[in-house]
Amino acid sequence: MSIFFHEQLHRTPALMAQLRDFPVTICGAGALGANITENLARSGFGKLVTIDRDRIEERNLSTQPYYRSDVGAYKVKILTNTIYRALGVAVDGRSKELTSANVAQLLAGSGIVIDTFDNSTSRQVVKDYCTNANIPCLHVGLASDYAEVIWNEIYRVPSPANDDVCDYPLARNLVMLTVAVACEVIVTFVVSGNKESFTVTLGDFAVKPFDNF
Amino acid sequence: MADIRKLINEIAAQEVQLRDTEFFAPCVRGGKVRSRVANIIYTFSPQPQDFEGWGIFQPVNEKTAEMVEEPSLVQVAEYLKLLKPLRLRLAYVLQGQTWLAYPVNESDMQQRLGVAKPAIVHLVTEGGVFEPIIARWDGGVWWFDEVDRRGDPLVGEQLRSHLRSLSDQNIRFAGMTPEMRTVYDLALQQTEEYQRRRQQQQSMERQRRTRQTTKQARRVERPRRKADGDEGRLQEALRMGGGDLREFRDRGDYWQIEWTTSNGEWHTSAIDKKELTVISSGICLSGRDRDFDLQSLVGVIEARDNWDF
Repeated sequence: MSIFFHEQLHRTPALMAQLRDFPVTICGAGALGANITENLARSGFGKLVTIDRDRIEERNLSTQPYYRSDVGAYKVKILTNTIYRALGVAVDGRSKELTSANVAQLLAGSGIVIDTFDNSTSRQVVKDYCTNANIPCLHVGLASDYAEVIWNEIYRVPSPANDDVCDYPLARNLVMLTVAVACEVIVTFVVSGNKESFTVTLGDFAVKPFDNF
Repeated sequence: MADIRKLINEIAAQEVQLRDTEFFAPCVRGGKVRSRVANIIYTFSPQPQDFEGWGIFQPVNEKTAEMVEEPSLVQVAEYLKLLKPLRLRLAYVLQGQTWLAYPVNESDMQQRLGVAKPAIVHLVTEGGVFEPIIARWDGGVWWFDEVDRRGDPLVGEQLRSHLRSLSDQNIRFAGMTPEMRTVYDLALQQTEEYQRRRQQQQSMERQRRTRQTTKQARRVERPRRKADGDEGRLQEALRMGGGDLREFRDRGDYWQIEWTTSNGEWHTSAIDKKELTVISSGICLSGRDRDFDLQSLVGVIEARDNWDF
C-alpha cells in the first residue's frame, strides 16, 4: 500500500503520478516555505527543491517543523533530512542565499517556483527572473492577520520598509491555513493550468479570491 | 614469462583510474579511509587531516585522498541500510563525534552479536547524553544512524536530571530498566564531582587501581578530559555572564548548548566553537548574533526588553 493511499483515493492515481513528476522549487524554508515543502512532500510531490540560507533559531520552533535539538543547524539540511526519514522522498535542499547572480542557476528547470521569502529584495529577484524566464511563480506572504497567495502576473512586491526580521506578529493558525491554501492552488495549477490567487484572513476565517484592482 | 612493458602499462592505467575515482566513506577524526579500485584495496589519509564525518573522497595519490564533497543523507542512509542495526543509549563523548553507548536491550545485543557490552559509536551527529539512538554494525565498527524516535524522551530527561544532582545511589523511576542503570553509571563515573568524591573516600584504593588500569580504560579516559575542557569553557563563559550550562552537544562546527538565565529561563543556542561567538541566539538580534559572544549573550537575553534592534 502506498504511503499516499488516502491522498490517492482523493486525487486519483493518474493525478498522483503527475504530482510525483512535477518539479517544484520553494524559495525559503521558514514558516511558509518549510511547511509548504513538507506538505507537498506528504501530498505526493516527488521533485522538490528548497532554497534557504538561514539557520534554525529557538523562536522558529512554534511555526516551523523543526525540533529543539535542531537549533543552530541549517534549515534546509534539517528539512530535507526530516522528509527523507519520514517518507523516503529526497528533497534537493540548497543552503544558499538566492541572489540576482545565481537565480538563473538555482531556479532552472522548475515547473513552478513558490516564493516564500521574508524580504522584498529576494522576492523582487524571484519575480523578475520568473517573469523573464516565463516560469510560473506563486508568491505566498503573511502580514499580521492577513495572508496572500498570488500569482506572479498580478503580484506587487511589498515595500522594503516592512522587512523587519524581528518584531512582527505571527499566528501559527494563519500560517497553516495559508500553507493549505497555497498547496491546493499548486495542485490545481498542476491539474488544470488554472492560476487562482487568494487572500486569507484569520480574524473572520475568510479565504477570498484576490481582486486585482 | 610476463611481458614487463605490459605490466607497467597496466599499473599506469590503474594509477590513472585511481585518481579519476571518487569514493564514499565514513571517516573518524585522525583515522583513515579505505576503498577498492581495480581490485586493489587502498588505504588513504584524508585531506584535510582533521576531517571527521561522511565524505566523498578523491585520491590525490596512493596515500592521500581529498574530501571533495559532503554526501547527501540519501547516500549515507543507503550505505547504512546495508549494515546491522541496534538500539543503543548514548552515555558520554569519548572524542569529537565518538561516543560510548550501551544497548537499550542487553539480550537483543547478546542474540545478535553474542555479547552484551558498551559500544563505541562513531560519527554521532545528533543526540545527547542518555538519548536512544540506532547504530549500525559493519563487523568491526559501530556507525551512528539516527536518533531513535521510538524511545521515550522523558527517560533521558530523568536520567539527566539525576546526573545533574549526582544522585548516585539507588536512582529509580517508573519504567527504569537495568540497562538504564548501567548507562547511568557509565556517565556518572565520568563526572568530575563523582570522581572527586571517590578520590576523597578511596584515595588509597584508587591509586592501586590506577596502576592496574587497562590500556582500553586509558584510551577512554584521555579524550574524556578534552570533553571536560570544552564543557568547562562553555560553563565558565556562561557563569561570567550569570547563566548556567545545562547541556551541550557537539554539532561539528558549532556547539549546541542548553542553558538557563539567572531567573531559570531555559534557552537553546548555537555557539561557534573557536571564538564562542553566537551563531543562533534564541532571540531575534536582527542578524547581529555574531556580534555577541556566549558571555555577553546572557546579559543580552536577560535585558532583551530594553534592547532596540
